[in-house]
Amino acid sequence: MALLAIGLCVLASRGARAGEDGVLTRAEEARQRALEEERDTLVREIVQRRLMRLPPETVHGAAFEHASVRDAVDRMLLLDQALRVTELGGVENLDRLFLALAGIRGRAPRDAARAREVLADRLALSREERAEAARTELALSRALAEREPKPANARPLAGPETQRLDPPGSAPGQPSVAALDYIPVSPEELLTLRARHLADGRAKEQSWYDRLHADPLADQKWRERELEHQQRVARMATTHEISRGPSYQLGVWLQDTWKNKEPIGLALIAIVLAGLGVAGVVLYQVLRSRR
Amino acid sequence: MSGGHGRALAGMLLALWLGACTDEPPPAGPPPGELELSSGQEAMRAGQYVVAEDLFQRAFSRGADAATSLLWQARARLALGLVDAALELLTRLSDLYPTHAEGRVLRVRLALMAGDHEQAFEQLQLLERHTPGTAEGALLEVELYLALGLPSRAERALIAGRARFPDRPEWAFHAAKADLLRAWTSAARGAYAQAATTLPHGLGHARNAWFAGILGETDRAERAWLDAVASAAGHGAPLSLSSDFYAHQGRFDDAVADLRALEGVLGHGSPDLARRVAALLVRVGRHTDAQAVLKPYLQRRMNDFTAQRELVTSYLAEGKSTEASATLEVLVSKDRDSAATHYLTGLSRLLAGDSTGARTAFQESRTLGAGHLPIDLALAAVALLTRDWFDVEFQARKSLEQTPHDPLAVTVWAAGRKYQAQIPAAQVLLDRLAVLEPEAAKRARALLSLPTPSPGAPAESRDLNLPSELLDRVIAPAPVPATLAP
Repeated sequence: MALLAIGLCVLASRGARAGEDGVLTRAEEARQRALEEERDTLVREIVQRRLMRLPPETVHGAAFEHASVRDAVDRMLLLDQALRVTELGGVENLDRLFLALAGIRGRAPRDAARAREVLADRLALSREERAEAARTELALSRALAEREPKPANARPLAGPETQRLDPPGSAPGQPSVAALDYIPVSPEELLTLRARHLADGRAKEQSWYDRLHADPLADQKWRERELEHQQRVARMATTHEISRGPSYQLGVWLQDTWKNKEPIGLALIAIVLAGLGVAGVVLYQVLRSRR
Repeated sequence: MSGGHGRALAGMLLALWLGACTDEPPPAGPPPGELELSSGQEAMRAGQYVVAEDLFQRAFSRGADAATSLLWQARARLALGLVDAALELLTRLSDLYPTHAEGRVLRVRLALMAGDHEQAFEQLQLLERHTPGTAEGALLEVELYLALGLPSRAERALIAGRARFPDRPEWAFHAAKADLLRAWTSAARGAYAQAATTLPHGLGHARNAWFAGILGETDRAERAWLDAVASAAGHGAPLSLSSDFYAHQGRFDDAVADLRALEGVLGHGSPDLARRVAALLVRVGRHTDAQAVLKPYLQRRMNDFTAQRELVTSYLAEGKSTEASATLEVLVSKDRDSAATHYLTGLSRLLAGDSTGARTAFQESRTLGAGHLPIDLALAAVALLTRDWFDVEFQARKSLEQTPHDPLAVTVWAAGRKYQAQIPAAQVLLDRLAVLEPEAAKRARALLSLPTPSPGAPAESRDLNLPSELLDRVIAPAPVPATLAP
């Protein structure tokens, strides 16, 4: 009897444990399922709210893509060129031209510094001009990086996430350009609204320009003074460089010669090295014979 | 047959032969190929560039003025976005007529636009040699120096050019660019604003707006675009560019308004308008309309890859994965160098649950230079699928470096920590997010089933292996505990 009781107890305890295990497994499964669902929801959220919401491929996107602050002048020239190129060909081709050029530039990005190096001899660039170009890029990148200070939590004006347009559920109409008719106000009204909304800003901006150009001569004087200052700084830098002495100059010359593979310079170096070698051998022989 | 009859017959034959040999006066009408040339120019004005290109080719083969035919054919190809093909024609034109200034100028401009400075210099030298002293040559010289980043040289050329051709309005814009190269941003900004009124049809305002956009001054750019549109007076370029500006900003209703105005200027014959309209319709969720516009458009222009991408985007947004995959298959085979195409392929595979394929496509897209695409976040989504939590965090942090203060990236980062059973770290991240965007933080907590934290002192980020300096920079400073707040 005692043995039977013990056996029953063992069986009961095992059963209870198995039951507990079963309960735990089901809870674990439910938790896993909840996590899976949560993860799938998050992925869906990422896809719906960000990955699918890309701005349309436009001239702005094409022109500013891969653009660093150093490319500002290049981008400004790009528009000038595009407007000139398309002067006779209509308007729409501006769009196509930009998109095509974005592809070309994407394949082979422009590199003004490399072009300067390649064309240096043909343009007869002086050393000062080369130095100025290098300084220019640096200064430009700094100046544009310090453009309009923005608050730390600044966000785009109206990104894809915050698009304001919620089109009314109109039935699909005629499949044509007329599909744009869903906007509740006419383009003219919208332009008027926009103009009214921006009038204040423009008035402020105008007063800023008025102040800036109140005295054109003052502007010119400032420009001359600034240029003179920049030239003085450049001159001082050059003088400082020259004043570093003959060994520094020799080092610069050796570096330039080696980098540009100048044949005369390389020949001179080879002759000097050969001469030193011969002199060394002769000296060694003389010293050896004297011993 | 008698001898008289024979003589008569011989006489008739002789008369016929003589008649045939006599020079007849040429038929009255236009010279050969002239009709095709003028029709092609008409087609260009109507925006039918494919037809125009064909007509110019026919004009060339029928013996019209070769230089004019080739130049117009090159323009038609440019209008179709075939820059390489246009350059090929312009090279032929320069070889045949080395003194043809217009073709050479176009060639220099295209080389400058494509960033091929060496070629531009070469062609400019040839232009100066064959047709010296032109205003276009002087302008191009300044533009080349500006593109090379040589302000002093550009200014010297500008002074010389302005002295010879003082009435060109472009000098003011180029002087401002030289100022900008000297890092005088304010001076350049002022000069651009001042010069904006010197060009007709709002083209000066358009340049000013473009510059403001480059400087990141969106409000000023918007005002300048408005000025440009107001003074466009029947010219389409400001309207077209203004529409693109608004579309890029995500303000699709404004973009639509400008496109409608553009439609009034160009008429329905304009080929690209349909694609741009469809792109906006896709963005506002009108997929049926967008597809109805795009399908007939793509039947006419099968090689418009941008339009095909819009169609795929529309299919994916609607959940039509089969159609999207079929279109993408063709698109990838034709347009394999496009980052956007590979991005869409990755997105399609991600939606189908193929994480390996999606990762490959996204990485390919990145290799091809997808600067504007959210590749890091896409890779984070792939890592979520594969449960690679370290990669989730890595990609989310990279995404935040690219676009700071992005609530979705913070949510993904927090999710990575949560699934590694680091709930306090996830809470800290969402606390930071709540400082900046409380609504987004609430949404993220609901999504990740994390409770709202108690108002006590927040956990120190360094105890949780979180880079506090990075958190300050890319999300927000740590929230002040309620007990310490004044």
